Parts: sequence; structure tokens; C-alpha cells
Amino acid sequence: MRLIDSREVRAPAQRRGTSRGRGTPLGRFVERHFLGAISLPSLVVMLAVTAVPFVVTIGLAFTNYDLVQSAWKFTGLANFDRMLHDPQIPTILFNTIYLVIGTTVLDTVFGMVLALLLDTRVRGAGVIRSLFMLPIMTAPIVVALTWRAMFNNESGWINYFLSLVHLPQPIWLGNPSLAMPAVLISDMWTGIPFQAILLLAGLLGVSKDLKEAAASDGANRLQVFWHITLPSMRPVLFIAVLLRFIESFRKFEGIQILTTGGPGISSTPLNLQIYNTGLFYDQVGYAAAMGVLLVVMIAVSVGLLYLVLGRRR
Amino acid sequence: MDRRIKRRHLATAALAAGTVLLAACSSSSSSSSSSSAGASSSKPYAGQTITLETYSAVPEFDYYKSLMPKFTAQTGINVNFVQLPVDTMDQKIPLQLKAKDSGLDVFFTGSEKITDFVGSGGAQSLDSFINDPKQTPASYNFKDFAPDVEAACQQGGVTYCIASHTGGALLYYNTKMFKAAGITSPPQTPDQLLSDAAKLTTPSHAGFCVRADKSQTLYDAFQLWNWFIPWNNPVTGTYFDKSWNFLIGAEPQASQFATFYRTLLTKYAPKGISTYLVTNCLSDFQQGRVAMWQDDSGTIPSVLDPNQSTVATSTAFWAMPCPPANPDHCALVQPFGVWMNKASQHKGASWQLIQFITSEQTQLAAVEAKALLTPSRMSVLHNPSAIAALPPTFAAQLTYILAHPDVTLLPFIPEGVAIIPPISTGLSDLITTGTPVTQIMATMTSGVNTIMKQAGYPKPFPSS
Repeated sequence: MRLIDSREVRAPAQRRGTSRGRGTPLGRFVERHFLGAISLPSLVVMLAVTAVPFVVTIGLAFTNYDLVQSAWKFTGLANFDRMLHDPQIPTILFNTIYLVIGTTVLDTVFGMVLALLLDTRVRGAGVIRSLFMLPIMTAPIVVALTWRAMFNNESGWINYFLSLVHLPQPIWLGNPSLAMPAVLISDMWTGIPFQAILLLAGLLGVSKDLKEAAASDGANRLQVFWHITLPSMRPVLFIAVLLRFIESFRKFEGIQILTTGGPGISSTPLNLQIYNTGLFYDQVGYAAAMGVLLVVMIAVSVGLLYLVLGRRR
Repeated sequence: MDRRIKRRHLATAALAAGTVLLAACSSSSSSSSSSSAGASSSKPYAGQTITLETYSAVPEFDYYKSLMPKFTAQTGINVNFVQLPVDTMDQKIPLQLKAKDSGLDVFFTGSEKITDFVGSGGAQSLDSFINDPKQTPASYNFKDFAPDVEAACQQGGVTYCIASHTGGALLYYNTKMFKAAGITSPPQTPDQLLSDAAKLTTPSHAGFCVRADKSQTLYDAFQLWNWFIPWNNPVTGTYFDKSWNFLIGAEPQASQFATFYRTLLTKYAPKGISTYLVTNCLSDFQQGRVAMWQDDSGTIPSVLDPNQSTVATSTAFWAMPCPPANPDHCALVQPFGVWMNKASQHKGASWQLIQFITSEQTQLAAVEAKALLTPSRMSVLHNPSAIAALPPTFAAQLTYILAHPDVTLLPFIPEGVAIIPPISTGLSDLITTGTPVTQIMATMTSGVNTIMKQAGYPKPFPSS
């Protein structure tokens, strides 16, 4: 059988391009700067909605800008100095790290387990895979409201089932040491299927020949997974971890509805604190300084993630 | 071939552009003709649609919603009546105002946020409407609003909201449970309240309830600290003295209040009180799961409605007498107002709606329907049919509350809202941690002082 020569496919397009290039000056310009031209509109939008607000935020971090006070001025590093001495900041940073690492690790580990289960050839696997998409399609506010009802210590299902098996029924959302675990549990409901779908795509791409060869050489299932499957899907795993990691920094609606960051500030991460400080309590300058801190945290941690996981791809 | 296709595309594009242009012209001409027709009629804003936002599950607002078809019939103005839970609406409206969202026209909320709303340019001044005889007939009688209540809707002599009602701090109590516990009269002092709560706490019901969720905790805690913290002045109430010292954190009253609050809520309140919203306390009280509940008088209709409440016939109301520490201003009076969004594009129509809702006829009808208990109009307050409609034990308490008012739910300064976080966090910590009360109150004070210092205080104390 004769394979198609890629040159044959490319040739007409090249000819067309060449003929256009020889046309008007505009045509020649487009031909020369094709990639730049088609990406220009999206670049402009990106600059307008991301880069400009980002630069403005950095600028605001050095002011005492307030939504209520009409007069505001440049205050240098005062907001950062306040942040250094703010007794709430250490707890809020701890909550942020707890949330990011907790959700990333739990969602990825359980997502991998689920993906492995979904990868088995059983009848109805397609339907089950579709069902796992449902949590992802549900609005985060609805998810949070549902979990708030389920965590209710008087009438929630969770404590009801715990009572059936004679286990202690804790006050999930009213206990500082249980509020953040409750947030993690509610997040897992949507986070695990999301990771599972991503990782399943990776699993489906792993060579069956390799796995069969390893099995025929005497490797057990765990060894096949550890030495064949996992290394083969490292690029997908890296992307899945990275997406979850960044998503965890952005997690907002769930916490706002579930615990409003309480009791006290025991489940308040940095982004919720920024929202409250800036938009609800009007101190935009201080909130902008915390925003800068959040951006630095994300940049540094994503960089570290690249160094640890990405380098070995 | 290519040219033919190009021409066809050009022709199609031209046709589409022409259609769009024609549609735009016809719609603009029809809208202008309809508006000119409207202007010439007695319904100058007919055909406009405005959006009103308020809380859900509040009988007064449910009642106003039921009147909207009548309002539309009278004025030709359609109303998009949006109701959301208290906590959701309390987040939504400030954001809409700060974002200059023209999708919001009229809203209800407490007057304590007036400095925030005015400062951020979100609240429309209503004086130009009130003083315009073309917009406001003399029969509306703006001077009929109780002066003390309406004053909370004004800043710098400018009116920003029309007081629709005033909430009063009340103790709801279950008379059957009191009798069963051998308690013959409601508590006279905070210490008595604690001992009554202890007697009323049984395996089947809790002794006392307040909303203690972090998002709403300040509202009820305010009612309780008024029994310990001396009221200082009408601008900063119990928050600051005229030298800007934070009174709630000043010892010894800070620790007295904090100890009382911690004991009451950790020993005699329902499990999980730190996540309780107003709806949780209401539901518990209605279902007989709690014996006493301190909150605003606005939920009385829900408690007395036998369709919703199992304790409708065994509920009484009580205003705790002012203690010596705060003899004259111990009762929360929270004027609730109807506001207009400054970014609204239907201000004339919005004013029509505000007038309709706050008219004497509407208020009286709302009182008679038992949907409103604390009207803001003097004529309604003194109307015999309105007095007859009040619950028996409430009328006397309302008189006491209005004679000992503290309307300063938040200090009337630009930083009024900004100082909420350290206070609400401290209140939450009191009932969810074992940290010593002195330490929590000191942290609260330090947090408030930092915010005030950042805002440039101490400043000259405002005259009004």
C-alpha cells in the first residue's frame, strides 16, 4: 500500500499561499505575519482583561485606596508592612497551603484509583463514565449548598449515617478543626471525577502491548502499574496535578457558602480574605497587597511543581 | 465562479445589514412612540420594568410582593421582584452598588450601611424626588415618618432611604417551657437570663438561641453587648467614645460581656450554634427545639403563623430592661429602608415604587395583614386598627424599645463596615475555641485599632 506523501498534501496550500503572497501588499503582510495576525485579537483581549488589571492591582497595593474614602494616596510599603504584622495572615496562609495540598493530593490519588476502575472492560463502563461527569457539570454554589445541608449536625445525612453505626456525630462546620476537612470532603465530590476523567484519558493511551509484555514476563498488577502505567502517563499526570493545583488556589464559592471562612478564620484561604477585605470591607489597597502575595505564592509553587515533576517528563 | 460566490456573499451581508438597520429603526421608533405616548398619559413610566431586590422568607416583603400586580395596574410599571436569603442578599447588594450595576433599581436593607453606600457612590439622594410636587403628591406626607427612625436614613442632611419599618431587639420565649421549668416571669438581668437558660436546657430543647454564624453574628451579639457596654453618642453608639477608644474592647465590660456570651452559647444553645443563621433559630423556635430566642422583631409573623409554627399559641415577647451600665440606649432599633440605586436608569419609575411601598395605605394594610409590626409612619403607629392587630405582649415591649433606642448597629463613620471582620472573628472565636476571653477581646481591639489607624484616626469627631 502506498503511503500518502506529506509533500503532496502540503503542495497545493503552499502554491495557494505563494500566489496570494504575490498579490496585494496586505496579502503579503498577512502571509509573512500570519501567526501574529490571527493571535492579535485574543492577545488584545488578554491584555485588557488580565494584564491591565494585574498591573493596576500591583499599583493599588502601594496605595490606601478605599471604596468609601474619596481621597487616597501612595503609601509605599505600608500595606505590606501591615500584612507582616497582621495576626490573621499566618493562619490564612496555613489554610491556603492546607487547602491547595489537601485537594490536589486527595483528588489526584482518589481520581487515579477511580480512573483505574473505569479503565476495566466491564459492561456499562461508558454509562458509568458519563455518570461521573455529573458532579463536574453541577454548579459549585449548588454543590456547596447541598453539602452545607448534608453537614448539618441536627438534620444532615452525614451525621444521620454516623448515628446508625453508633459513631460520634461531630459539629462539622462549627468546629475550627473540622471546618477545613469538611471543605476538602465537599471538594472531593467534584475534584475526584475531574481528575479521573483526565487520568483516564492518559490511561487509555498507555500501550497495551507493553503491559501484556510485562505481565508475560511475570510482573504482577502492582508492578505493571508502577513500572509501566505510571511512567507512561506521567505527562498527563503532570497536567492533571497542575490544573488541580491552580484550581485549588482559586477555590472560592464552596468555602463562602459552606463555612463563610469560619468559625473565626479557621477555613479562610487567602482568596476569600482578599474578596472580603476588598469588596465587602472596602479596603482595596490592602486587598491588592494580599493579591500580590497570592500571585507570588502561585508563581513560586507552580515553578516548584515544574521543577519537581515537569523536569522529568 | 469565485466572483459569483463573492457577490452572493456580499449581497447576503448587505441584506443582513439592511435587515438589522431596519429592525433597529423600527424598534427605536416604536420605543420612542411608546414613551411619548406614555409621557402624555397619567402613567408617565408605563412600560418600564424595574428590579427590586430584598430578602426572602420575611413576611413583610412577601406581602409587598403580593401587591405588585396592583402597583403595575396603577402605574403601568412592571416590577421584577427578586428575593434571596439574607446572607446572599447582604453580599449581593453592596457588590452591585460598588460595581454601579444598573440592573438594580430599588432595594431594601438596614440603614446602618448608609456611610458605606453613600461613600461608595451607590445610594441615590431622594431629596429631589421628595421635594418635587410633580413626582410626589402632598398626600404622601414625608413628615409623617417617625423622625428618629427616618434620621437613620439621612446623612449630612440628605435623605438616602425611606424608612419602611424599624426592627426592635426582642426576646421570643416559649411560655409552656417557662411554666414547665417553673419560671414565672421573663428575665430582668443578664444573670437571670443565664440562670433561666440553664433551667430551660433539657435533652429535648435548648435554652437559648441567637444567630452566631460568622456572617451574621454581629447583629445578635450587638443586642447582647448592649447590656454591658455603655452607649456613648449617636454617631458611634457603643463602638467608640469621642476620643476613638474602642468601647467593646475596654475592660472590665469587655470580659464581662465575652464571658456571658461564651457561657450562654456554649452551654445553653443548640449544638452547632456557631453556624446558626437567622433561619436556623427561627426554625428551632417554631418547632419547639429552643425555649428563648433573641432577635429582631421582624420575624414575629412567622412565629405566630400556626401554619409554620408549632408554638404559635405559646409564644410571648420581652424586651430586657436596660441595666445600669447602659440605662437609656440598650435596645437595638434598626431602621430598615427602601433605597434607590444611583446607577438606576429608571429613577422616576423607581421613586413611584418607593412611594407606593412606603405610603400610609400600604403600611396600614401590611400591619392589618400581620405582615408588618413596626411601621415607620406615625399615623400608622397610632392607628387603632393597627394597634389592635399587634400581638398582645408585643405592644408594650415596642413602646419600651422605642423609648430606649440604639440605632447605631454600625458606627456612622466611613469605616463602619471595615471594622466588622475583627469583631465577628472574635465573637466566633469566643464560642468555638478555648482561648481566654481577655486574649480574644484584646485581639479584637487590636484588629479594630489597626483598621482605624490605617484610615487616619484619630480624626476630629463628627458633629452628626
